[in-house]
Amino acid sequence: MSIRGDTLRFKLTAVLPALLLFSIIYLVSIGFMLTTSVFKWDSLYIEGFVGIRNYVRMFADRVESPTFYRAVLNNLSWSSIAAFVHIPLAVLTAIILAGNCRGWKVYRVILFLPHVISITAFAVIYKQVFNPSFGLLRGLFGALGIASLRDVNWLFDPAWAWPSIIVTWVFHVGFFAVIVMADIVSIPTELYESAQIDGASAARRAVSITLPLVRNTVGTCVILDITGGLKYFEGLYLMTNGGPNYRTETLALYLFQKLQLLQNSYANAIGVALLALGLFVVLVANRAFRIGRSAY
Amino acid sequence: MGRKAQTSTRSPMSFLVGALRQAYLLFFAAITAFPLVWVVISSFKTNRSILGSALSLPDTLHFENYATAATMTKVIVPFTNSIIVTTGAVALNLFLSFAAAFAIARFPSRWLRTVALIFSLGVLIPINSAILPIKLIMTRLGLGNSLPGLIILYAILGLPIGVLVLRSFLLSVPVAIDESARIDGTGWWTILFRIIMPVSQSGIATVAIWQAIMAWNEFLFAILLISSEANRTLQIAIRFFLGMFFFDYGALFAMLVIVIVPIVLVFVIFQERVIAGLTAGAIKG
Repeated sequence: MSIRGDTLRFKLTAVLPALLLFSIIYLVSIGFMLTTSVFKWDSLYIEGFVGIRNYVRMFADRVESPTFYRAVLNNLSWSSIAAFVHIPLAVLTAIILAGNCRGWKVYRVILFLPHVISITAFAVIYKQVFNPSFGLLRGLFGALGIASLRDVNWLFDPAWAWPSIIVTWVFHVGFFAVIVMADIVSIPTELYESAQIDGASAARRAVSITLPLVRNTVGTCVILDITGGLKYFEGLYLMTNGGPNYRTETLALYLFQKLQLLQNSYANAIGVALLALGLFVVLVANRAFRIGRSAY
Repeated sequence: MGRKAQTSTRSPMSFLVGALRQAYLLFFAAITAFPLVWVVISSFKTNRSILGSALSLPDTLHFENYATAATMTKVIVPFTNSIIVTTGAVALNLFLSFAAAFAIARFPSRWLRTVALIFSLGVLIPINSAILPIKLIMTRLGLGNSLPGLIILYAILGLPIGVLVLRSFLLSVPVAIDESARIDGTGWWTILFRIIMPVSQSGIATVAIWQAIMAWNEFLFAILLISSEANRTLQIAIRFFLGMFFFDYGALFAMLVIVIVPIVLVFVIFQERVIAGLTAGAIKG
């Protein structure tokens, strides 16, 4: 047996199973979704070609479009909060944790907890926290004597529902803080020492040394956070299911709801919109952070 | 993790900065932990005391909530299912992604670079956009309402992360390690299992942890594919529990504690491993 043939056979047997399975789920299904989104398919069988009708319904239908636009708006709102609030909070937390402050290990464990507990369990917990008759928030605002906030029905008040959803994740910074922190502690100590001799303050060192050096990692975190947000489904499904009055609708949820109504091809058109939005947001983030070589 | 140099002089200014840092961390820790603590405390209260006052402590520890929760939900079935699915998915994923990642890392050829690029696209694509086609494909393959189906699907969904993280890890393993074995005429698969895998334990641990957290917590595809009660995983069972305890909040809180405690215990015991594993390969590779 020749060495070359042996090596080639290994390469094929090592790569092909993974590539084949990956292609079935990722490429075939996405191709199928793109194709069927231009057909009529409201039952078990695909009934016929309808061109862009599903997309017209999405963008310009008086009944459907408001929900669709609300979903896109919410997805964009989520992505911006992820990039401009969530990740900056995580970076600040990482800088503080890496600064050898007292009890950093305990803090790290507590802050990381939300990442090991499922979103599903957290959604049920937050549903109780926001409960208008016995929830934790009602108890807290009652104890503080703030009656106007005590009586808010957080998840069912059109003005409060979306901010409440944001609150369920925006303070959970542990996961990204840990990733950024690992990057910070790998920065050579000499860089900080010489800056300190030059009289640079802690804040100044963070801005001029730490931040530029962790840019790549932070950019990767932004992308992971945004794509995670676009995939986020179970929390909304269990807490509000898009209500009240579509205020907490997102594309992932809207897609699932249409699927349950067996509006298959319309659901696939929403899927295409979600896919396009995802690629758009990732491209923007990639540009903004000028991500070079990184693991993702 | 190594520590950073810091000001050791105890000036009033540095004291103030230290206090601010503590306050910041305390705020985030409280906002994270408080709901969890509240759930644990409430799980020991009677329904009346829960409805009466959210912040009160239990009069005595009402363990009967736990008995009610455990018997009503038969939580052991979905719990076992989740363990089976997570273990199977992690094992299958590790095998597939390790083999592919080794071939890609070890043989830099154009078509293998293309394969790596195809896998990396998978990280960026919100794959939940294609839930309908995926459901159809799985059902057509006879893997619709079954645990093996979930195992295979989760293993595939984890391939992009698995291949990319393992590839960048394997790039740092010196080629010299396998060259001598190669001269002796050892086959590549033997080299992979006997020589490369043993020196790649930290990379494998990283990927295993990623995959396990993902598989254990997955909800959308489970609820889409699983239709019979016997096959429910823990995450989708939670949804059905929610309806069950509509008027018995003490038992609902007890159920939440039952669901959360095992994974939290595992994390607290293995925290160094989890966090080190997550950061070792995830970013730098």
